[in-house]
Amino acid sequence: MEDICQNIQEWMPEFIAGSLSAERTAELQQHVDSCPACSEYLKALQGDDKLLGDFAEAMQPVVNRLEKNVMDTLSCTTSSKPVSQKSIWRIIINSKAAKLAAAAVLLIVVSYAAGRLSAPRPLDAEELRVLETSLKSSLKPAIRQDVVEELNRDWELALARNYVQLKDELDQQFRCDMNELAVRTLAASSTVTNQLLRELIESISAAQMQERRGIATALEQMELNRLRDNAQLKSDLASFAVQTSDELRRTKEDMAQLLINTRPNRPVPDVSENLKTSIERSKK
Amino acid sequence: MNGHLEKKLVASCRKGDVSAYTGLVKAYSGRVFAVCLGMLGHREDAEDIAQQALVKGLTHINQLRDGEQFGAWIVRIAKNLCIDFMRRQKRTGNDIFQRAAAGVSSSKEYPELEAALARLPQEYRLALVLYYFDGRSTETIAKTLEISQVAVRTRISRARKQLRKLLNTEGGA
Repeated sequence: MEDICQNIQEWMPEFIAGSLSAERTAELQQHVDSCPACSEYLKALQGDDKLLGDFAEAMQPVVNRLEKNVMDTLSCTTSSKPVSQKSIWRIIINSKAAKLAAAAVLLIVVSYAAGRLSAPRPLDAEELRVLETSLKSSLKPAIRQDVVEELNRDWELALARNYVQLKDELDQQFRCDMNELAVRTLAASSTVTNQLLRELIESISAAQMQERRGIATALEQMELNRLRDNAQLKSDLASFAVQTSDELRRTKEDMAQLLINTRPNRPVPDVSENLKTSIERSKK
Repeated sequence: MNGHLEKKLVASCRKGDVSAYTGLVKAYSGRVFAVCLGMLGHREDAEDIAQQALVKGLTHINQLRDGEQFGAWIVRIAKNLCIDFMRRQKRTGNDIFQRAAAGVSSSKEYPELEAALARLPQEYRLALVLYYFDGRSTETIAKTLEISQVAVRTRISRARKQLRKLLNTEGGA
């Protein structure tokens, strides 16, 4: 029985994960129904599963805080001032290379002191110089390489930070310039438009004035013609009236003469004489 | 996260666009935190190291090789930082595993569970924590840890059994 329980309990984690085969799942469920110990163990494992799930959910605020902290750190880092000459020196001073150099100097000093104390006679200055040279020559390339590597790393970091800041600044400057240009262009175009409108209005006014003058001249001319025609008509009517009056008077005289001539006991007048007179008058 | 979108975000980050990194942080912060928690077994330490890893992800984005997935790369950074952290702790005598063995936990909500998790072997804890923090997919865990899915399932099963024992012990203590 214990072997069976052990096997069944081996399968339980996979059963909880849902990756146990259908055949084994059926076997497990059958066994659990009849075994209180395995049933209890399964319940405990399922409780652990729930507990771990709840724990992961409870950690979500920690993950959210982590995200926020990361972005805050990055935004602070990228918006920080460019690396100054002073900070470069600080970097150099704090660098491993500087520590190595300090260690080298210390080693030289200690070696010198040890030599002085341990040797029966003081070390020769030449020997010390040789020792110093050899130490320097052994440490120099390593120090140089470390300095170069560290500076490269710091420069890369600084350039990456500065690049973002520079991009933002250039972007902002570009926007400002474009706005200023737009304002200037609008102002200039407005001035030119106003000038053109003024010229157009002036030309329209001049054309209207000229047209009015032409109309006035034409009206004056028409008035003069009318007056002249009136005068001509008046004089013609007067002469016509005079002529008509004369003709009427003569006709009356002719009629009177005719009446006289047509009365009995009176000699017949000479009609040919009267006709002759009328023709002469009309000729006149 | 969609591979194409990830590549675009990585390219933008390389050009200095910090805002593009927000998308990558949101996509992978849970996994990075789970890896750190799985490796260190201590919540505050895990949070600190995960933060360092995610910040380093942007500052060293140019070191991400073409074709390499950001997810795998950032997890590797987090793992390396955890290893460095554990070495430093060991050197200073503040061994994280000793703390875990002593049941030191700052958790208020799940003190027993966190103490038991801290006592689990690292490889079991890592698989178990990733399972619950990263979508309960053995396939994803296998890719993250660069092991087979069978190995992932085995580790999770063993982790469950050991955790049960530890919780029993602590519950009974």
